[in-house]
Amino acid sequence: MKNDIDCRAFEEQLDALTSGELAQSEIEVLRAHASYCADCAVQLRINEHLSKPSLREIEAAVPEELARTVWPRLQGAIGFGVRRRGGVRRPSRFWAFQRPALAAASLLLAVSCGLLLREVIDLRRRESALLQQVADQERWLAGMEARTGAAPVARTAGLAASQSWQRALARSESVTVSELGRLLASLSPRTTVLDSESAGRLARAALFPGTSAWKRVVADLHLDDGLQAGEALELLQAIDLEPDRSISTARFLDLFVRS
Amino acid sequence: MRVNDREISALALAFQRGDQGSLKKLVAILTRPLLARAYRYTGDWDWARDLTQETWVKVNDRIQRYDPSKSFRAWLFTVHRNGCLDHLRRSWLRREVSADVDAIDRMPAPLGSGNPEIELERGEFHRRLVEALSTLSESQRLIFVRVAMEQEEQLEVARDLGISPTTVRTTLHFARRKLAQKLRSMGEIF
Repeated sequence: MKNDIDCRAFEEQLDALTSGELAQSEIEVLRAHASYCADCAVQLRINEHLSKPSLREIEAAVPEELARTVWPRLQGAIGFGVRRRGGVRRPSRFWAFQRPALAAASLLLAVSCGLLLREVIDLRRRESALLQQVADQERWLAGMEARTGAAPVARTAGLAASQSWQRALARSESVTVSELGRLLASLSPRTTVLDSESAGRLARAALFPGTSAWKRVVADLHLDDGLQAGEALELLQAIDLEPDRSISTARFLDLFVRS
Repeated sequence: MRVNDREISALALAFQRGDQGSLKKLVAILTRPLLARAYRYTGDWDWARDLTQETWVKVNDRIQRYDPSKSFRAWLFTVHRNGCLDHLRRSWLRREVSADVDAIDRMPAPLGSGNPEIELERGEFHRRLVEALSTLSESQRLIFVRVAMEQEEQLEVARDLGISPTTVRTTLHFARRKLAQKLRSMGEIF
């Protein structure tokens, strides 16, 4: 046997040393090499440190009390007595598995809310535009009223009443004869309820032959500046319809023309 | 309690199919080897118990991933080894971040002679050795701990990792060299 070895040979024999396969003389050769080779000396130290005690010796030295505590602690950690297929269920794991689904649902909800919010904002914008349009039309109507030549105070009152009249008719699709009578009676008699163009059609209709009471009433009216509430009420009474008869608001003018 | 690999794998299969009693039997059979290995890494019985318990919790959670055609013992020890190495990585990180002296003190000497001076020296050496492991690459560390710390056969390690025995031997050689150099750089220890 050689009295000296190189580092490679030293290292190769370390495992044999660990497993106790070397004779005393071989161990001494290894130690001799380690006495002047610092790196191999450290390796020998590591080897000895890890081999004494061996893993088997450590296993034999495991404190019995320590080993006994593992199962009760484990039961506490994984949820005692809760059974499932393939292991013992820990309650919190359920939610852990649901997290991806919950995250997806949350994302979907957020996107839906975003779309809904955008729709609401769009609707509000359209509502503002419509209100602006209504205001513009009312201004235009006011301008038209101003051109009728009425006195400023009467014009203003007439305009307000006219707009109320239009709004009242616009609120429902039809009214009864008695409701229309009450509506006309509630207005100032000077309130214009039909513009001059519509009133002109009424006047032309009255020129056709016939002896209806309403034609006689129309013949006495001055319709150049439209039909006013007092005149309309007089006409309604002249037509003498049943009070419960329903009249389409869109066809209000036709009521007079066809009667 | 000596139980062969086939019986252990049968218990694991039963547990995989929902038999909770099999888990209890597995814990009774395999807890001591796990404690011994964790103690080998940490040199501390309390840490060894915590790491062993963590391993069993992982086994409970991941039992469906176990392939019954393979050795349950090998699978279990792999899970356990990974947990122990993660624990060491965390302790290395703590040292780097805060020079946590307490973390170092939590690694006392492995089982020894009972002589306080020798125990102190062994404890110090063990602490430095564990710290030096942090300088190895992942593959060097894995092969070193399996061969040198867990005393597995090189051939078995090579077969399990799917690499050649020569690769294991070469990697082990470089790992030992690196460890020796690191330990020497840490100061006089002899």
